[in-house]
Amino acid sequence: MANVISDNALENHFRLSEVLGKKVLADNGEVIGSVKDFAVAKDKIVGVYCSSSAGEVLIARSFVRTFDSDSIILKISPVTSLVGKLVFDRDGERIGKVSEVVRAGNGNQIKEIVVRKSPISKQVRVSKKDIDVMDKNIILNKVL
Amino acid sequence: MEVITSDDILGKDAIDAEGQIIGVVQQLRIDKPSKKIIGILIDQGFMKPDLFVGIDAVKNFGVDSVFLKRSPSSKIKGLEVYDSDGKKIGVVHDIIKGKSNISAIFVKQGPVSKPFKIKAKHIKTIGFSVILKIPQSRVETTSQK
Repeated sequence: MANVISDNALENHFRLSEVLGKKVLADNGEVIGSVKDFAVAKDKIVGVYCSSSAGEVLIARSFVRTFDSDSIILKISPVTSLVGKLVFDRDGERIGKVSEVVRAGNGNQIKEIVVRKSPISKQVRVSKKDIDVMDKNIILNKVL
Repeated sequence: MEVITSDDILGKDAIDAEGQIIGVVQQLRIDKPSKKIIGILIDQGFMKPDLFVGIDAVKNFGVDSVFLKRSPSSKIKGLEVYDSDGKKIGVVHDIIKGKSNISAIFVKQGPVSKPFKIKAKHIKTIGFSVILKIPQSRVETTSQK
């Protein structure tokens, strides 16, 4: 137990080091990765570095709903976590997997997804308006 | 008239409303007197019971897959449950269904612990895991009968 030097009560806190390596959950409960580090600016936490299958992602503090020593829950489902999901067209044909998400700037809005059947196959670009379901996998509202 | 055969359906992936592959179509079920297809039987994989889906819940028979209109509530079992603060409080042990939706879930903290009930009104999200609207301290608990 550390000696406390403070004029105020420091109750109900936890160490940031306790959160490192813990799960980062999207608003739909999907585990999108683990906490790798925190971004600090002007004495405040401004973001969370998340280690995910799509690589390292820096998520702004404004997108974080809750911090706890068990996990971090976001207010959003990061569109970057769509990478690797299966894509089916309206007729149930398996088009491939999402290889890239094209966003409008750095926000969480997608412009289109890039789909490939295999790493060497030709890529197909699908616009956001052609997506019907974007959840566990992706279902399009048209036939390609 | 567009005719498909059982070969176009059997062995195909069954995909629920969330886009999740829940299994492979194993059988077509036919009502003998009316000679109509009443549903499909889905093999959900090792250690999971087969799932019957009525033909009304089938959206369409696709090229590589069969789309369902809904997501089976049984797949919630085993999901991790987090309170509103992000604290993990256990996994879904069982569910209670209402007329159309889930009315409550039973959550177990460990293999030997007693399940406790959480009403549907306290659930914010059911997806890849279950996230509650309230902190663990406010979860109303009752013993499972």
